Amino acid sequence: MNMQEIIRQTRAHFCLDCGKCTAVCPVNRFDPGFSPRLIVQKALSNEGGAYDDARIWSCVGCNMCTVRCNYNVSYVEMIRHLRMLSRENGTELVYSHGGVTESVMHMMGKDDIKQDRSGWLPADIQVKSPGDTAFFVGCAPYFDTIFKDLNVKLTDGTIGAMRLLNMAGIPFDLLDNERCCGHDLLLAGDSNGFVALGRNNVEELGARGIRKIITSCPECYYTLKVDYPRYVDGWNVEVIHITEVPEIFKLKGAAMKKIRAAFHDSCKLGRHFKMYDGTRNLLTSLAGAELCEMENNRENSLCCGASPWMFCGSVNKQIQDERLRQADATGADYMVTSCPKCQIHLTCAGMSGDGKYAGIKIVDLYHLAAQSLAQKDG
Amino acid sequence: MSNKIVVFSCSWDGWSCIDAAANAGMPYPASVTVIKLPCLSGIDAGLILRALEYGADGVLLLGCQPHECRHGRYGKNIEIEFDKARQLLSLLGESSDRVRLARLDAFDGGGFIETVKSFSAALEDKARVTASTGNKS
Ligand code: SF4
Ligand code: SF4
Repeated sequence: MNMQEIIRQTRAHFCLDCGKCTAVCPVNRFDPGFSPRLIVQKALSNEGGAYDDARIWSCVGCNMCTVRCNYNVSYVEMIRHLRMLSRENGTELVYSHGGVTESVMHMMGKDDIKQDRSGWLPADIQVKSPGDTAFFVGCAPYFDTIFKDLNVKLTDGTIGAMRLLNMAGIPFDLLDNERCCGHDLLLAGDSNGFVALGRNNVEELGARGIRKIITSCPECYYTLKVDYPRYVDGWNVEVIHITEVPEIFKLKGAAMKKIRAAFHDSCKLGRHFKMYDGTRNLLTSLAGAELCEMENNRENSLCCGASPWMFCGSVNKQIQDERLRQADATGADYMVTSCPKCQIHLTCAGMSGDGKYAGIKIVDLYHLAAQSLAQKDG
Repeated sequence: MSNKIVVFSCSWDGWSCIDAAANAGMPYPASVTVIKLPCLSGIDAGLILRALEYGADGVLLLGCQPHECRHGRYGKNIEIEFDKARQLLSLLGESSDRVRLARLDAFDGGGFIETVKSFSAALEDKARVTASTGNKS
Protein backbone atom coordinates (compact mmCIF):
# COMPACT_ATOMS: atom_id res chain seq x y z
CA MET A 1 0.00 0.00 0.00
CA ASN A 2 1.42 3.43 -0.84
CA MET A 3 1.41 6.48 1.44
CA GLN A 4 -1.65 8.07 -0.18
CA GLU A 5 -3.65 4.92 0.34
CA ILE A 6 -2.45 4.55 3.94
CA ILE A 7 -3.48 8.14 4.72
CA ARG A 8 -6.89 7.60 3.17
CA GLN A 9 -7.58 4.28 4.88
CA THR A 10 -6.48 5.42 8.32
CA ARG A 11 -8.26 8.80 8.08
CA ALA A 12 -4.94 10.53 8.79
CA HIS A 13 -5.95 13.45 6.57
CA PHE A 14 -8.51 14.42 9.23
CA CYS A 15 -5.73 15.02 11.77
CA LEU A 16 -5.95 18.53 13.26
CA ASP A 17 -2.56 18.35 14.93
CA CYS A 18 -4.20 18.72 18.35
CA GLY A 19 -1.83 16.36 20.15
CA LYS A 20 -4.41 14.52 22.27
CA CYS A 21 -2.95 11.24 21.04
CA THR A 22 0.51 12.15 22.27
CA ALA A 23 -0.86 13.38 25.58
CA VAL A 24 -2.35 9.97 26.42
CA CYS A 25 0.30 7.75 24.82
CA PRO A 26 2.04 5.56 27.42
CA VAL A 27 5.22 5.41 25.37
CA ASN A 28 5.38 9.21 25.20
CA ARG A 29 4.98 9.34 28.96
CA PHE A 30 8.36 7.68 29.42
CA ASP A 31 10.02 8.71 26.14
CA PRO A 32 9.04 12.28 25.26
CA GLY A 33 10.80 11.88 21.90
CA PHE A 34 8.03 9.54 20.74
CA SER A 35 4.91 11.29 19.53
CA PRO A 36 2.05 9.76 17.54
CA ARG A 37 1.02 13.26 16.51
CA LEU A 38 4.39 13.92 14.92
CA ILE A 39 4.36 10.59 13.10
CA VAL A 40 0.90 11.30 11.67
CA GLN A 41 2.08 14.75 10.66
CA LYS A 42 5.21 13.35 9.08
CA ALA A 43 3.11 10.88 7.12
CA LEU A 44 0.99 13.78 5.89
CA SER A 45 3.88 16.02 4.95
CA ASN A 46 5.21 16.12 1.43
CA GLU A 47 8.64 15.00 2.58
CA GLY A 48 7.41 11.41 2.87
CA GLY A 49 9.58 8.85 4.62
CA ALA A 50 7.49 8.37 7.78
CA TYR A 51 8.14 4.67 7.33
CA ASP A 52 11.89 4.97 7.80
CA ASP A 53 11.52 6.84 11.07
CA ALA A 54 12.88 4.37 13.65
CA ARG A 55 10.25 5.54 16.13
CA ILE A 56 7.45 3.71 14.33
CA TRP A 57 8.80 0.58 16.05
CA SER A 58 8.24 1.98 19.55
CA CYS A 59 4.42 2.00 19.45
CA VAL A 60 2.97 -0.81 21.57
CA GLY A 61 -0.35 -0.82 19.72
CA CYS A 62 -2.42 -0.02 22.80
CA ASN A 63 -5.00 2.03 20.88
CA MET A 64 -5.18 4.72 23.52
CA CYS A 65 -4.50 7.41 20.90
CA THR A 66 -7.27 6.33 18.55
CA VAL A 67 -9.80 6.15 21.36
CA ARG A 68 -8.94 9.74 22.29
CA CYS A 69 -8.71 11.15 18.78
CA ASN A 70 -11.81 13.21 17.94
CA TYR A 71 -11.33 12.38 14.28
CA ASN A 72 -10.84 8.68 14.78
CA VAL A 73 -7.45 8.49 13.09
CA SER A 74 -6.58 4.76 13.11
CA TYR A 75 -3.10 5.11 14.44
CA VAL A 76 -2.38 1.43 15.09
CA GLU A 77 -3.43 0.62 11.52
CA MET A 78 -1.20 3.38 10.23
CA ILE A 79 1.77 2.08 12.21
CA ARG A 80 1.19 -1.42 10.87
CA HIS A 81 1.17 -0.18 7.28
CA LEU A 82 4.24 1.99 7.85
CA ARG A 83 6.01 -1.04 9.29
CA MET A 84 5.10 -3.05 6.20
CA LEU A 85 6.55 -0.32 4.01
CA SER A 86 9.61 -0.12 6.19
CA ARG A 87 10.24 -3.86 5.87
CA GLU A 88 9.73 -3.72 2.13
CA ASN A 89 12.48 -1.12 2.15
CA GLY A 90 14.86 -3.43 3.94
CA THR A 91 14.74 -2.28 7.58
CA GLU A 92 16.56 -4.70 9.90
CA LEU A 93 14.59 -5.39 13.05
CA VAL A 94 15.64 -6.05 16.61
CA TYR A 95 13.67 -8.95 18.01
CA SER A 96 13.50 -9.64 21.71
CA HIS A 97 14.18 -13.18 22.99
CA GLY A 98 16.68 -13.80 20.19
CA GLY A 99 13.83 -13.77 17.67
CA VAL A 100 12.55 -17.13 18.87
CA THR A 101 8.88 -16.17 18.62
CA GLU A 102 9.31 -14.95 15.06
CA SER A 103 11.10 -18.14 14.01
CA VAL A 104 8.42 -20.29 15.62
CA MET A 105 5.70 -18.34 13.78
CA HIS A 106 7.53 -18.65 10.48
CA MET A 107 8.12 -22.35 10.93
CA MET A 108 4.45 -22.83 11.82
CA GLY A 109 3.56 -21.11 8.57
CA LYS A 110 5.08 -23.92 6.50
CA ASP A 111 2.49 -25.95 4.66
CA ASP A 112 3.92 -29.38 5.47
CA ILE A 113 4.37 -29.27 9.23
CA LYS A 114 2.51 -31.66 11.49
CA GLN A 115 2.64 -30.20 14.96
CA ASP A 116 2.65 -32.24 18.12
CA ARG A 117 1.13 -29.54 20.24
CA SER A 118 -1.34 -31.16 22.62
CA GLY A 119 0.92 -32.96 25.11
CA TRP A 120 -0.16 -30.57 27.85
CA LEU A 121 -3.86 -31.39 27.53
CA PRO A 122 -5.23 -33.01 30.73
CA ALA A 123 -7.22 -36.23 30.34
CA ASP A 124 -10.38 -34.75 31.89
CA ILE A 125 -10.92 -32.18 29.12
CA GLN A 126 -13.75 -33.38 26.93
CA VAL A 127 -13.28 -32.75 23.25
CA LYS A 128 -16.06 -33.37 20.75
CA SER A 129 -14.53 -34.51 17.53
CA PRO A 130 -15.73 -34.19 14.86
CA GLY A 131 -17.79 -31.11 15.54
CA ASP A 132 -18.48 -27.80 13.90
CA THR A 133 -17.10 -25.67 16.74
CA ALA A 134 -13.43 -25.50 17.69
CA PHE A 135 -11.68 -24.01 20.67
CA PHE A 136 -8.76 -21.98 19.31
CA VAL A 137 -5.92 -22.57 21.76
CA GLY A 138 -3.39 -19.99 20.59
CA CYS A 139 0.32 -20.16 21.31
CA ALA A 140 0.19 -20.95 25.04
CA PRO A 141 1.88 -24.37 24.57
CA TYR A 142 4.80 -22.65 22.84
CA PHE A 143 4.93 -19.83 25.37
CA ASP A 144 5.20 -22.38 28.20
CA THR A 145 8.48 -23.52 26.69
CA ILE A 146 9.82 -20.17 25.54
CA PHE A 147 9.13 -18.45 28.85
CA LYS A 148 9.77 -21.29 31.23
CA ASP A 149 12.49 -19.21 32.93
CA LEU A 150 9.70 -16.90 34.10
CA ASN A 151 7.95 -19.82 35.73
CA VAL A 152 4.65 -19.02 34.02
CA LYS A 153 2.31 -21.70 32.74
CA LEU A 154 0.14 -20.13 30.11
CA THR A 155 -1.65 -23.38 29.32
CA ASP A 156 -3.18 -23.20 32.82
CA GLY A 157 -5.35 -20.36 31.52
CA THR A 158 -6.24 -22.23 28.35
CA ILE A 159 -7.11 -25.34 30.32
CA GLY A 160 -9.21 -23.20 32.68
CA ALA A 161 -11.14 -21.77 29.73
CA MET A 162 -11.79 -25.25 28.32
CA ARG A 163 -12.92 -26.51 31.73
CA LEU A 164 -15.45 -23.66 31.92
CA LEU A 165 -16.80 -24.64 28.50
CA ASN A 166 -16.93 -28.29 29.53
CA MET A 167 -18.81 -27.47 32.71
CA ALA A 168 -21.21 -25.22 30.83
CA GLY A 169 -21.90 -28.06 28.39
CA ILE A 170 -20.57 -26.26 25.32
CA PRO A 171 -18.99 -28.82 22.98
CA PHE A 172 -15.80 -28.02 21.10
CA ASP A 173 -13.19 -29.73 18.97
CA LEU A 174 -9.44 -29.05 19.08
CA LEU A 175 -7.23 -28.72 16.02
CA ASP A 176 -4.12 -30.92 15.96
CA ASN A 177 -2.37 -28.57 13.60
CA GLU A 178 -3.71 -25.17 14.60
CA ARG A 179 -1.29 -22.44 13.54
CA CYS A 180 -0.53 -19.25 15.43
CA CYS A 181 -3.17 -16.65 14.47
CA GLY A 182 -0.33 -14.39 13.29
CA HIS A 183 -1.26 -11.31 15.32
CA ASP A 184 2.34 -10.42 16.08
CA LEU A 185 3.63 -10.95 12.57
CA LEU A 186 0.93 -8.66 11.23
CA LEU A 187 1.58 -5.97 13.84
CA ALA A 188 5.27 -6.21 12.98
CA GLY A 189 4.42 -5.55 9.34
CA ASP A 190 5.24 -9.09 8.18
CA SER A 191 2.28 -9.61 5.88
CA ASN A 192 3.74 -12.63 4.06
CA GLY A 193 4.36 -14.47 7.31
CA PHE A 194 0.85 -13.59 8.48
CA VAL A 195 -0.84 -14.78 5.31
CA ALA A 196 1.08 -18.09 5.40
CA LEU A 197 -0.34 -18.81 8.86
CA GLY A 198 -3.82 -17.68 7.85
CA ARG A 199 -3.87 -19.82 4.73
CA ASN A 200 -2.92 -22.89 6.75
CA ASN A 201 -5.56 -22.17 9.37
CA VAL A 202 -8.21 -21.86 6.66
CA GLU A 203 -7.16 -25.23 5.30
CA GLU A 204 -7.09 -26.94 8.69
CA LEU A 205 -10.51 -25.59 9.68
CA GLY A 206 -11.97 -26.43 6.31
CA ALA A 207 -10.69 -30.01 6.46
CA ARG A 208 -12.25 -30.41 9.92
CA GLY A 209 -15.57 -28.86 8.95
CA ILE A 210 -15.30 -26.10 11.56
CA ARG A 211 -17.80 -23.25 11.18
CA LYS A 212 -17.32 -21.53 14.53
CA ILE A 213 -14.40 -20.71 16.80
CA ILE A 214 -14.38 -19.95 20.52
CA THR A 215 -11.22 -18.48 21.95
CA SER A 216 -10.07 -17.02 25.24
CA CYS A 217 -6.99 -15.20 23.91
CA PRO A 218 -7.79 -11.51 23.22
CA GLU A 219 -5.28 -11.26 20.39
CA CYS A 220 -6.43 -14.44 18.66
CA TYR A 221 -9.96 -13.11 19.00
CA TYR A 222 -9.10 -9.79 17.39
CA THR A 223 -7.02 -11.31 14.64
CA LEU A 224 -9.46 -14.03 13.67
CA LYS A 225 -12.45 -11.74 13.90
CA VAL A 226 -11.10 -8.53 12.37
CA ASP A 227 -7.96 -9.29 10.39
CA TYR A 228 -8.76 -12.70 8.89
CA PRO A 229 -11.89 -11.55 7.07
CA ARG A 230 -9.98 -8.72 5.38
CA TYR A 231 -6.60 -10.33 4.74
CA VAL A 232 -7.04 -14.11 4.52
CA ASP A 233 -8.68 -15.62 1.45
CA GLY A 234 -11.44 -18.14 2.03
CA TRP A 235 -12.08 -17.22 5.68
CA ASN A 236 -15.67 -17.89 6.56
CA VAL A 237 -15.84 -18.78 10.22
CA GLU A 238 -17.80 -17.24 13.06
CA VAL A 239 -15.51 -16.14 15.89
CA ILE A 240 -16.63 -15.58 19.46
CA HIS A 241 -14.82 -14.81 22.66
CA ILE A 242 -15.42 -17.10 25.62
CA THR A 243 -17.01 -14.21 27.54
CA GLU A 244 -19.65 -14.09 24.80
CA VAL A 245 -20.83 -17.59 25.74
CA PRO A 246 -23.83 -16.87 28.01
CA GLU A 247 -23.88 -20.37 29.52
CA ILE A 248 -20.62 -19.89 31.42
CA PHE A 249 -22.15 -17.07 33.43
CA LYS A 250 -24.76 -19.47 34.77
CA LEU A 251 -22.08 -21.58 36.45
CA LYS A 252 -21.79 -21.11 40.17
CA GLY A 253 -18.38 -21.08 41.82
CA ALA A 254 -17.57 -22.20 45.34
CA ALA A 255 -17.61 -19.66 48.10
CA MET A 256 -13.85 -19.48 48.13
CA LYS A 257 -11.94 -17.60 50.70
CA LYS A 258 -12.56 -14.09 49.50
CA ILE A 259 -9.67 -12.89 47.41
CA ARG A 260 -9.04 -9.35 46.28
CA ALA A 261 -8.13 -9.09 42.62
CA ALA A 262 -6.83 -6.17 40.57
CA PHE A 263 -8.07 -6.71 37.03
CA HIS A 264 -5.78 -5.81 34.14
CA ASP A 265 -7.63 -5.24 30.84
CA SER A 266 -5.86 -6.39 27.69
CA CYS A 267 -5.73 -3.67 25.03
CA LYS A 268 -7.40 -5.88 22.44
CA LEU A 269 -10.41 -6.96 24.47
CA GLY A 270 -10.61 -3.58 26.16
CA ARG A 271 -10.02 -0.53 24.00
CA HIS A 272 -10.25 -2.39 20.69
CA PHE A 273 -13.53 -4.23 21.41
CA LYS A 274 -14.79 -2.30 24.45
CA MET A 275 -15.42 -5.60 26.23
CA TYR A 276 -14.88 -4.71 29.87
CA ASP A 277 -17.71 -6.38 31.75
CA GLY A 278 -17.67 -10.07 30.78
CA THR A 279 -14.21 -10.58 32.20
CA ARG A 280 -15.05 -8.66 35.35
CA ASN A 281 -18.26 -10.65 35.83
CA LEU A 282 -16.32 -13.89 35.55
CA LEU A 283 -13.91 -12.61 38.13
CA THR A 284 -16.50 -11.53 40.67
CA SER A 285 -19.34 -14.00 40.16
CA LEU A 286 -17.43 -17.11 39.16
CA ALA A 287 -14.07 -16.76 40.81
CA GLY A 288 -15.76 -15.04 43.74
CA ALA A 289 -13.19 -12.30 43.90
CA GLU A 290 -13.57 -8.80 45.16
CA LEU A 291 -12.72 -6.53 42.26
CA CYS A 292 -10.11 -3.86 42.92
CA GLU A 293 -9.88 -1.35 40.10
CA MET A 294 -6.47 0.08 39.40
CA GLU A 295 -5.85 3.76 38.91
CA ASN A 296 -6.04 3.27 35.14
CA ASN A 297 -8.83 0.88 34.28
CA ARG A 298 -11.26 -0.05 31.55
CA GLU A 299 -10.88 2.46 28.69
CA ASN A 300 -7.94 4.13 30.43
CA SER A 301 -6.21 0.86 31.25
CA LEU A 302 -2.45 0.86 30.91
CA CYS A 303 -0.95 -1.52 28.36
CA CYS A 304 1.29 -4.39 29.53
CA GLY A 305 3.95 -2.47 27.70
CA ALA A 306 5.23 -4.68 24.95
CA SER A 307 4.55 -4.87 21.25
CA PRO A 308 5.07 -7.86 18.93
CA TRP A 309 8.12 -9.39 20.58
CA MET A 310 10.46 -6.70 19.38
CA PHE A 311 12.39 -3.69 20.65
CA CYS A 312 11.58 -4.38 24.30
CA GLY A 313 13.59 -1.82 26.22
CA SER A 314 13.66 0.59 29.13
CA VAL A 315 10.49 2.44 28.10
CA ASN A 316 8.53 -0.80 27.99
CA LYS A 317 9.90 -1.75 31.39
CA GLN A 318 8.86 1.61 32.82
CA ILE A 319 5.30 1.18 31.52
CA GLN A 320 5.18 -2.29 33.06
CA ASP A 321 6.65 -1.06 36.30
CA GLU A 322 3.99 1.63 36.50
CA ARG A 323 1.28 -0.99 35.91
CA LEU A 324 2.67 -3.17 38.68
CA ARG A 325 2.81 -0.15 40.96
CA GLN A 326 -0.87 0.47 40.28
CA ALA A 327 -1.73 -3.14 41.09
CA ASP A 328 0.34 -3.00 44.24
CA ALA A 329 -1.38 0.21 45.34
CA THR A 330 -4.78 -1.51 45.38
CA GLY A 331 -3.56 -3.91 48.03
CA ALA A 332 -5.05 -6.80 46.03
CA ASP A 333 -3.94 -10.40 46.56
CA TYR A 334 -3.72 -11.06 42.83
CA MET A 335 -3.29 -9.19 39.62
CA VAL A 336 -5.62 -10.96 37.19
CA THR A 337 -5.39 -10.85 33.42
CA SER A 338 -7.19 -12.65 30.62
CA CYS A 339 -4.32 -12.39 28.12
CA PRO A 340 -1.35 -14.78 28.03
CA LYS A 341 0.96 -12.11 26.68
CA CYS A 342 0.03 -9.61 29.39
CA GLN A 343 0.77 -12.35 31.91
CA ILE A 344 4.20 -12.96 30.39
CA HIS A 345 5.17 -9.30 30.16
CA LEU A 346 3.99 -8.32 33.61
CA THR A 347 5.57 -11.39 35.20
CA CYS A 348 8.83 -10.59 33.46
CA ALA A 349 8.67 -7.00 34.73
CA GLY A 350 8.01 -8.21 38.26
CA MET A 351 11.10 -10.40 38.11
CA SER A 352 13.38 -7.79 36.65
CA GLY A 353 14.23 -4.36 37.95
CA ASP A 354 14.84 -3.99 41.64
CA GLY A 355 12.42 -6.73 42.64
CA LYS A 356 10.10 -4.19 44.27
CA TYR A 357 7.02 -5.83 42.79
CA ALA A 358 8.26 -9.41 42.75
CA GLY A 359 5.62 -10.32 45.32
CA ILE A 360 2.64 -9.52 43.08
CA LYS A 361 0.99 -12.75 42.01
CA ILE A 362 -0.17 -12.51 38.41
CA VAL A 363 -2.75 -15.11 37.48
CA ASP A 364 -4.98 -15.93 34.56
CA LEU A 365 -8.68 -15.18 34.86
CA TYR A 366 -9.91 -18.50 33.43
CA HIS A 367 -7.51 -20.49 35.55
CA LEU A 368 -8.82 -18.75 38.64
CA ALA A 369 -12.47 -19.20 37.64
CA ALA A 370 -12.05 -22.88 36.80
CA GLN A 371 -10.25 -23.48 40.08
CA SER A 372 -13.11 -21.98 41.99
CA LEU A 373 -15.60 -24.23 40.20
CA ALA A 374 -13.45 -27.31 40.77
CA GLN A 375 -13.38 -26.57 44.51
CA LYS A 376 -17.13 -26.52 44.54
CA ASP A 377 -17.35 -29.85 42.73
CA GLY A 378 -14.59 -31.44 44.79
CA MET B 1 27.07 -35.88 2.71
CA SER B 2 24.85 -33.01 1.61
CA ASN B 3 23.15 -32.05 4.87
CA LYS B 4 23.39 -28.38 5.62
CA ILE B 5 24.81 -28.16 9.12
CA VAL B 6 25.43 -24.91 10.97
CA VAL B 7 28.03 -25.21 13.71
CA PHE B 8 27.99 -22.56 16.42
CA SER B 9 31.39 -22.92 18.00
CA CYS B 10 32.86 -21.16 20.98
CA SER B 11 36.17 -19.46 20.27
CA TRP B 12 38.07 -21.57 22.82
CA ASP B 13 38.17 -25.37 22.90
CA GLY B 14 35.40 -25.74 20.31
CA TRP B 15 37.25 -23.62 17.81
CA SER B 16 40.60 -25.26 18.67
CA CYS B 17 39.14 -28.61 17.53
CA ILE B 18 38.03 -27.19 14.18
CA ASP B 19 41.43 -25.51 13.81
CA ALA B 20 43.23 -28.74 14.66
CA ALA B 21 41.20 -30.65 12.08
CA ALA B 22 42.04 -28.05 9.44
CA ASN B 23 45.73 -28.03 10.33
CA ALA B 24 45.89 -31.80 10.15
CA GLY B 25 44.26 -31.69 6.72
CA MET B 26 41.21 -33.60 7.87
CA PRO B 27 38.43 -32.64 5.47
CA TYR B 28 34.85 -31.87 6.39
CA PRO B 29 32.08 -31.26 3.89
CA ALA B 30 31.48 -27.86 2.35
CA SER B 31 27.87 -28.08 3.49
CA VAL B 32 29.06 -27.47 7.06
CA THR B 33 29.09 -23.77 7.97
CA VAL B 34 30.99 -22.77 11.07
CA ILE B 35 30.07 -19.64 13.01
CA LYS B 36 32.48 -18.64 15.74
CA LEU B 37 31.20 -17.02 18.94
CA PRO B 38 33.03 -15.93 22.07
CA CYS B 39 31.15 -18.44 24.21
CA LEU B 40 28.20 -20.81 23.83
CA SER B 41 26.53 -19.03 26.73
CA GLY B 42 25.59 -16.34 24.20
CA ILE B 43 23.45 -18.77 22.21
CA ASP B 44 19.72 -18.82 22.68
CA ALA B 45 16.90 -20.92 21.31
CA GLY B 46 16.06 -18.09 18.93
CA LEU B 47 19.43 -18.28 17.19
CA ILE B 48 19.20 -22.05 16.88
CA LEU B 49 15.71 -21.93 15.40
CA ARG B 50 16.65 -19.06 13.11
CA ALA B 51 19.35 -21.22 11.51
CA LEU B 52 16.80 -24.01 10.96
CA GLU B 53 14.17 -21.57 9.71
CA TYR B 54 16.67 -20.27 7.15
CA GLY B 55 17.24 -23.75 5.79
CA ALA B 56 19.81 -25.59 7.89
CA ASP B 57 19.09 -29.30 8.33
CA GLY B 58 20.85 -29.40 11.66
CA VAL B 59 22.54 -27.15 14.21
CA LEU B 60 25.59 -28.29 16.13
CA LEU B 61 26.61 -26.41 19.26
CA LEU B 62 30.29 -26.98 19.86
CA GLY B 63 31.95 -25.87 23.06
CA CYS B 64 34.32 -26.64 25.90
CA GLN B 65 33.79 -29.16 28.64
CA PRO B 66 31.72 -27.35 31.29
CA HIS B 67 34.59 -27.00 33.78
CA GLU B 68 36.85 -25.56 31.07
CA CYS B 69 34.65 -22.54 30.23
CA ARG B 70 36.91 -19.46 30.12
CA HIS B 71 33.97 -17.21 30.86
CA GLY B 72 32.78 -19.22 33.82
CA ARG B 73 29.30 -19.23 32.33
CA TYR B 74 29.14 -22.37 30.30
CA GLY B 75 27.01 -25.07 31.90
CA LYS B 76 23.60 -23.73 32.61
CA ASN B 77 22.53 -21.17 30.06
CA ILE B 78 23.34 -23.22 26.99
CA GLU B 79 21.66 -26.28 28.42
CA ILE B 80 18.47 -24.35 29.12
CA GLU B 81 18.42 -22.87 25.62
CA PHE B 82 19.36 -26.19 24.00
CA ASP B 83 16.45 -27.88 25.80
CA LYS B 84 14.09 -25.07 24.80
CA ALA B 85 15.05 -25.38 21.16
CA ARG B 86 14.53 -29.15 21.27
CA GLN B 87 11.13 -28.79 22.92
CA LEU B 88 10.02 -26.16 20.43
CA LEU B 89 11.05 -28.44 17.57
CA SER B 90 9.00 -31.26 19.10
CA LEU B 91 5.96 -28.99 19.36
CA LEU B 92 6.44 -28.05 15.73
CA GLY B 93 6.46 -31.74 14.86
CA GLU B 94 10.09 -31.58 13.81
CA SER B 95 12.77 -33.93 15.10
CA SER B 96 14.38 -32.53 18.23
CA ASP B 97 17.56 -34.32 17.14
CA ARG B 98 18.12 -31.59 14.57
CA VAL B 99 20.02 -29.80 17.33
CA ARG B 100 23.03 -31.37 18.96
CA LEU B 101 25.28 -30.18 21.78
CA ALA B 102 28.87 -31.43 21.73
CA ARG B 103 31.61 -30.72 24.22
CA LEU B 104 35.13 -31.62 23.24
CA ASP B 105 38.55 -31.38 24.83
CA ALA B 106 40.88 -28.80 23.31
CA PHE B 107 42.53 -29.57 19.96
CA ASP B 108 40.50 -32.73 19.34
CA GLY B 109 40.40 -32.39 15.55
CA GLY B 110 39.44 -36.02 15.05
CA GLY B 111 36.65 -35.60 17.61
CA PHE B 112 35.20 -32.69 15.63
CA ILE B 113 35.24 -34.63 12.35
CA GLU B 114 33.69 -37.63 14.08
CA THR B 115 30.96 -35.45 15.65
CA VAL B 116 30.06 -33.77 12.37
CA LYS B 117 29.99 -37.07 10.47
CA SER B 118 27.83 -38.88 13.00
CA PHE B 119 25.46 -35.88 13.21
CA SER B 120 25.15 -35.75 9.46
CA ALA B 121 24.54 -39.51 9.24
CA ALA B 122 21.82 -39.24 11.90
CA LEU B 123 20.16 -36.38 10.02
CA GLU B 124 20.30 -38.38 6.82
CA ASP B 125 18.74 -41.44 8.49
CA LYS B 126 15.99 -39.26 9.88
CA ALA B 127 15.36 -37.71 6.47
CA ARG B 128 15.06 -41.19 4.95
CA VAL B 129 12.57 -42.31 7.61
CA THR B 130 10.59 -39.10 7.19
CA ALA B 131 10.49 -39.52 3.43
CA SER B 132 9.15 -43.06 3.74
CA THR B 133 6.69 -42.56 6.63
CA GLY B 134 5.95 -38.85 6.60
CA ASN B 135 6.56 -38.87 10.35
CA LYS B 136 9.14 -36.30 11.38
CA SER B 137 9.43 -36.96 15.09
S1 SF4 C 1 -5.49 13.08 18.44
FE1 SF4 C 1 -6.09 12.75 16.29
S2 SF4 C 1 -6.36 14.80 15.48
FE2 SF4 C 1 -5.20 15.04 17.38
S3 SF4 C 1 -3.04 15.03 16.71
FE3 SF4 C 1 -3.57 12.90 17.25
S4 SF4 C 1 -4.20 11.96 15.30
FE4 SF4 C 1 -4.24 14.21 15.01
S1 SF4 D 1 -1.16 2.84 20.07
FE1 SF4 D 1 -0.57 3.33 22.19
S2 SF4 D 1 1.69 3.28 22.16
FE2 SF4 D 1 1.01 3.44 20.02
S3 SF4 D 1 1.02 5.65 19.65
FE3 SF4 D 1 -1.07 5.08 20.26
S4 SF4 D 1 -1.12 5.50 22.47
FE4 SF4 D 1 1.05 5.44 21.85
